[in-house]
Amino acid sequence: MKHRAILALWLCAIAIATPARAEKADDTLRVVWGANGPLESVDFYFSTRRTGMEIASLVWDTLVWRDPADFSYKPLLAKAWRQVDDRTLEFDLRDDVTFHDGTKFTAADVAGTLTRVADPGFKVRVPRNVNWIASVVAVDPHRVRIVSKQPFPPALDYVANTLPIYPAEYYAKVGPEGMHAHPIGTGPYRMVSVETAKAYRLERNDGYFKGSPKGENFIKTIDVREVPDGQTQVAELLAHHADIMWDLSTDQLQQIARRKGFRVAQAETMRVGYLGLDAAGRSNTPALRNVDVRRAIAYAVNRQSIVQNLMGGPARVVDAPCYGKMFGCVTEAAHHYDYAPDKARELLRSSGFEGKVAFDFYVYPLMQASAEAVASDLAKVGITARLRTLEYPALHDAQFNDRTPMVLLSWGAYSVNDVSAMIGFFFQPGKEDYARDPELHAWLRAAEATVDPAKRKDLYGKAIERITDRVYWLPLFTFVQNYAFADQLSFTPSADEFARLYRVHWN
Amino acid sequence: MLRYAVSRLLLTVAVLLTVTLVAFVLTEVVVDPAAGLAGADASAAEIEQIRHEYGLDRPAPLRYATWLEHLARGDLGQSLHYKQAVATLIGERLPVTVTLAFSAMALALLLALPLGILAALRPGSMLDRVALTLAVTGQALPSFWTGLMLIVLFGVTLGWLPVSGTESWLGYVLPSVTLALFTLPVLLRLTRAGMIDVLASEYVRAARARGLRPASVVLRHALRNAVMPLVAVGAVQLGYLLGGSIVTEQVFAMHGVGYLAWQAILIGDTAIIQAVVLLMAFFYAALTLAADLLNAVFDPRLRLG
Repeated sequence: MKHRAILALWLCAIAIATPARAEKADDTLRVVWGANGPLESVDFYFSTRRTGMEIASLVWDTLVWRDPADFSYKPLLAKAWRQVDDRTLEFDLRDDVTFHDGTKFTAADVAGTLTRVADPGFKVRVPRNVNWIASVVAVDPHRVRIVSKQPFPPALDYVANTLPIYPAEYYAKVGPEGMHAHPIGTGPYRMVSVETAKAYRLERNDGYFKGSPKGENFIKTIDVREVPDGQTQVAELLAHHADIMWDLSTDQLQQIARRKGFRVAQAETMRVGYLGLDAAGRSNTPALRNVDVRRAIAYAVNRQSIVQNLMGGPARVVDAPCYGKMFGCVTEAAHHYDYAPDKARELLRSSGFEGKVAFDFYVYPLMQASAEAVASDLAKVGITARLRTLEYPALHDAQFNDRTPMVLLSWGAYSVNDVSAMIGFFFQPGKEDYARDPELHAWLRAAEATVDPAKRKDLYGKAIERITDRVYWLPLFTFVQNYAFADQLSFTPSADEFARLYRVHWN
Repeated sequence: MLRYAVSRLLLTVAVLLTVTLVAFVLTEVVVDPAAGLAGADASAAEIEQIRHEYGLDRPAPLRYATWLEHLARGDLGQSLHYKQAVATLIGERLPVTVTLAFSAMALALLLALPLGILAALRPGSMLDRVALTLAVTGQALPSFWTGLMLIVLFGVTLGWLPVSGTESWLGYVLPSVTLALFTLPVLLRLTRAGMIDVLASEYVRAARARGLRPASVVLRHALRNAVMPLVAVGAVQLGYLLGGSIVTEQVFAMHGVGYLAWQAILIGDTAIIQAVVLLMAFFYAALTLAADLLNAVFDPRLRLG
C-alpha cells in the first residue's frame, strides 16, 4: 500500500514535471518577448515598441503591405494606389473586408483613423509617424486620399508600416484605452485577452479576406508572454514552454543551435552601426574638426576584424551610412576606407596632430565590446579614445547636449525603407547633427522636397559622398537579428527586424 | 504606551512626507519622462513635442504640488505610458508581490529559527558550522544568479517547476526559495547570536537551576528575549520584500510591484516610480512602527523613552 502511494506521488510529480512540447497539437504558437521593455499599449498609436508593431501586424491591416523579401509594396486593404500630385496619394480600397466585430471596412475608417491620429491634440506616442499628414479625405466609400503637408517621398512606406486602420466609429467611441483593452481590426488575428504588459492571446480570424499578401492557413492561437530577462526567455524555450524568441546574443544562439529539437536563424538587418564624429566642434574637441584626423580614424579602425570576431553571422562591413537596399542608399557614392594604420599615422603626422588627439568616446552597454575594439585600434595609431559607457537614454541626452566627441551607435531607421529616415535624420539642422554642413543640409532638404526618384537618388548620392569623404560618420557594419524556435516551426526572418508572426507555420 | 505610539506615528508621517519630496526630486533629476514617452529612438524635436503635449514642461514645484494634492486625496496619479491609474496598476500586481514576500519570509524563518537555535545550543559543533556556511553562502550569492541556477536545474533540466510566471502556485516555489536564501543568512545569524547571548545570561541559568525542562528554557524563556532584534530586522527584510524584489521578479517574470517598478524605470514612467518608492517607504515605515510597538510590548523600558 505504501509503495503504491509513493508510486502515485511519483507519477504525479512526473505529470507536473514533464515539459510541454511545442504546441503543434493544440495549434498554439507560444511566444516570449519583452527583453527590450514592456509593451505600453496594444493600441499601436500609443506604443513605441517594436513588439507593438508585431501585435499591430496581427490585429490590424494597413492599406499596403511591404514585402519583407524585396521591400516591394503589395495591395492589402487598398487594391491599387497612385500618386496624384507631389503631396497626394490616392488609394482604391477593397470592398470585401470586415472588421472583427462584423462591421464593413470603408474609406470612412481610413479617413477617421488617420485624421484622428494626425491631430496633435490626440498626442500619439510617435509623432513622426503622423506629423506629415495634412488631411485624409474619403472620396467615396472605397476611395481615399492622403494629403501630406509638404511633398513626403517615403509616404507609402509609412502607410505600409506605421498606419494601421481602425474601425473609426469604434475608436472614436472607446479611445486608446478601449482599443488597448478590446482591440478590433481587420487583421488575421483577433485579440481575445489582454493583460497589460504581461500576456496576450490571439485567435485566428477565420473571416480574414482571401488573397491577402499576409497569407492564409494561419496558426490557430498565438499566446504571447512578456518575459523581461533574456536568459529566462532562453530557459522557457529550452524547457519547451515557448516556441519562438528573438533578440538573442550570438553566444545564446550557438548554445541553442547545439540542442536537439530547436532551430536557429540569423538575418542581416537594416540596422547599421557607425562611429559618429563631432566635425562641428559642438563638444569642444578641436582635433575632430580636422578632416585629416577624422580620416585617420577611418583608416585606423579594423572594421572587418570587428565583424568577424564580434558580430558574426551575416553581418558585414558597410561603407555607406545606410542599408544597401534602402531607397536612396547610393552605396557606390561612398568612400571606402581600408584598414591602413600606417596611412592613419601619416595623416596625423601631416596634419600636426600626432600624439595630440584625445577625447571621450561614448557607447551604450550593448556595443561595449565593439567600442573597446575601436578604442584599441585607435590607440595603436596614437589616438586616445576614453571609453564612456552610458545607458541609451543618458547617451542620447549627452548627444543632444553637445557632450559627445565620438559615439558608437546603431540606427535602424525605424525600419523605414528610405534614407530620409537615416541620413535625413542625422544631418539636417537639429540636435542630432554633429556635422553642421550647410551644403549637406541643402541637398537633404531638396531630396525631401521632391517625389522624383531620380532626382532624390542624385541628391542622396552627393550627401553620401560628402558624409563619407569628410568622415562625419564612419559606417561600421550591419547588424544581425538572431532567432531561435522549435524545430516543428517554419520561420523565415527578414531584414526589417519584424518577426511577422502571421507568417510562422508548422512544418 | 499611548504617548509612545503617537510619537512613533507622527515620526512615521514625517518620514513619508520627506520621502515624497526625495522621490520627486530624484526622479526629476534622473528620469526624463518626455524622453521615455517618446521612445528610445525619438529625435530631440519629438521629445520636445511630447514634453509640451503632455504638460511635462510645467514648472517642477507646480507638478510636485499637484502630485501632493492628488496623494492627499488618495490618488497615486495616472501612468502616461499605460494610460491607467497607478493605483490600479499597483493593485493588480500587489498580490503577486505580497504572496512572494510572505512565502519567502515564512520559508526563511522556518529555516532560520530552528537552525539558529540549534547552532546556538552547540556553538562550534558540526551543525553550527553547517548553519554558518549556509548563512555565508546565501549572503554571497546574488539573487539573479541563484534564480537562474534554480531555473536551469528545476525548470529546464528536471522540468519539475515552471521556469517563470505565476499561472499556478508552482510558479512561486523557485522565486520564494531564491528570496529566502537571500533573507535567511541575516535572520539565522541574528537568531544564533541572540540565543548564544541569552543562553549565557543569569536568568537562563537560574531557570535551568530551577529544574525547568530544557525545551521550556530555550523556547519560552530564552527565545522570547533573543527574537527582539530579529523582529526589527525581520520587519525591515519584509519591507524590502513587500517593496517588490526587482531582480527576482524580473528573472522569474513575476508581474509584481518590483517588476512594475523596473519597467517604469526602463520606460521613464515617473508616476509609477514615485508611487512605488512611496509604497516601499510606507511598508518600511509601517513595519518599523509595528516592530517598535512590538518591541515596546516585549520590553517595557522602551516605552519610557
